[in-house]
Amino acid sequence: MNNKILLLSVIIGLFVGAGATAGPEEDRTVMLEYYTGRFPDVPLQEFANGLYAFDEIAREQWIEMEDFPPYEIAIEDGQALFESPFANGKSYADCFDNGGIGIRQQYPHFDADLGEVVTLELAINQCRAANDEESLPYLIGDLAAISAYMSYTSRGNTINVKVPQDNPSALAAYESGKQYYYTRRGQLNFACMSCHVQSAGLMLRADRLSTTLGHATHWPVYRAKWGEIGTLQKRISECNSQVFAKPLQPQSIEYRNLEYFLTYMSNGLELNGPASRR
Amino acid sequence: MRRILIISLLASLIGVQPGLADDDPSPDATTRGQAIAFDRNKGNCLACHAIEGGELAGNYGPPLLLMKVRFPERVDLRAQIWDAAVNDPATRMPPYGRHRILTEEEIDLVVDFIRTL
Amino acid sequence: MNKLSTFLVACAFLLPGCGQETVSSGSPGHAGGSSFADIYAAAEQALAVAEAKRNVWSKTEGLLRDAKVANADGRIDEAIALATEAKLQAELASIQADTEAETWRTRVLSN
Repeated sequence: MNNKILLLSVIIGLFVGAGATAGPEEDRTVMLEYYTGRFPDVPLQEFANGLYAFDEIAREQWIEMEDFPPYEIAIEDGQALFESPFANGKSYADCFDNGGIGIRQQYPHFDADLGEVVTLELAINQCRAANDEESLPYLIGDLAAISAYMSYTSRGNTINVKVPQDNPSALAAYESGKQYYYTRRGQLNFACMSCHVQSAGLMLRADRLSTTLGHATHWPVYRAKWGEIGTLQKRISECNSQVFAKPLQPQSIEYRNLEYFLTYMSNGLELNGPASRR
Repeated sequence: MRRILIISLLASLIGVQPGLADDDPSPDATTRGQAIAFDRNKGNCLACHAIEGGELAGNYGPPLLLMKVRFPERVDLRAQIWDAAVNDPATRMPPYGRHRILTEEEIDLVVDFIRTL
Repeated sequence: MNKLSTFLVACAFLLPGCGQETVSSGSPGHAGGSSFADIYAAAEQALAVAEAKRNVWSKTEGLLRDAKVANADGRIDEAIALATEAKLQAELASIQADTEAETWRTRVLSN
């Protein structure tokens, strides 16, 4: 065997070995150190504010926007929807811990019986299905409003996503989300990390790229560009489109696993949704 | 030698041998190249690179300046646009040729334009 | 060597397009004798492979739809070019997915 090829395969083997053995907590620590190294002046909790943590001009405009929060109507609508009973007389409160109040930090979690990751948005539709109600669309509208209300009641709670060590399926789901995050896709050939790790803080046209640390804290979001409130998976679909990749179905296994990984990376940060973004 | 001859003959047949192209493009070619470079649905070069004459440029990649100094050979600049990963596997630059984001003719026009910078 | 280069030169001057069998990107209208139906079916097949790998590019399905419309309108050369482009994109997306199935690991942040 050619020496160069041998050396190359040893190097690749090291990478592969490292990728396979590092657990979620090691991954999170490495990512945390990466961003705190890149942005030493940004206090940890500030990462929950996305690019406004390190773009002064954009931050000023954002603070002005927050004087009359554009997501406020969604919170009110969401509360009304959340509190109105289903046809069978039950309501969302009957499906969730603590009546659904202040529980967003539990999501996403790995449901051992289902063998899949359950996001809050999926759980809302599971609740509807259990009460013979039709599913709501996942990206915008009533479901985003209910999610906004549930986030609002969870503000200040600390994200604490768990990957149970005794469940290989949970770890596999986390690993699949991690793989999605690092995989190049689309005709333009970008991975999530191409923009949000390698180029975090840089400008793409007139938009500054945010860090993965804090990506999962503040959903759903009223985005000025959208003119409405949308869920995290709406933003993920949009990212796909921006790199010329066909988005997957909302709440597909891949997107849920990605959300599991992304949210785990923000463990320890406080929830601050819903939020506004430009 | 034989192999190189065959490859270059084949390449000239299918028109992917930029080294043989005229290096003194017409003003029309550079204008068309600029339009493709600035078009958000084509090159969208301004998303990442500052370019003279373009607005709202990003800084994801380096500003496009002194291009004939950085790429004395036209063929090298064209190769960079066609597939930057050949020189740098970690590059974030989209492979405009390899992934057929632009046609070969469009890439030639963009190269004409970029070489004027 | 002489025979081969003579052949290639002959190719260049006498039979424009005959060298294109070596790459799959045919010029519009040239498809080595394949009909639109054949190319369209091959493109659909390539798209199904990319779909199974959960990695379809965003413009590919639209190209295939446009190809169908062009064919129905009798714009056959355009229809064949569009279907060929869709097929090539789907194939490249599959290659991307296969390559990335391993190389993603080289990008993982580590100490």
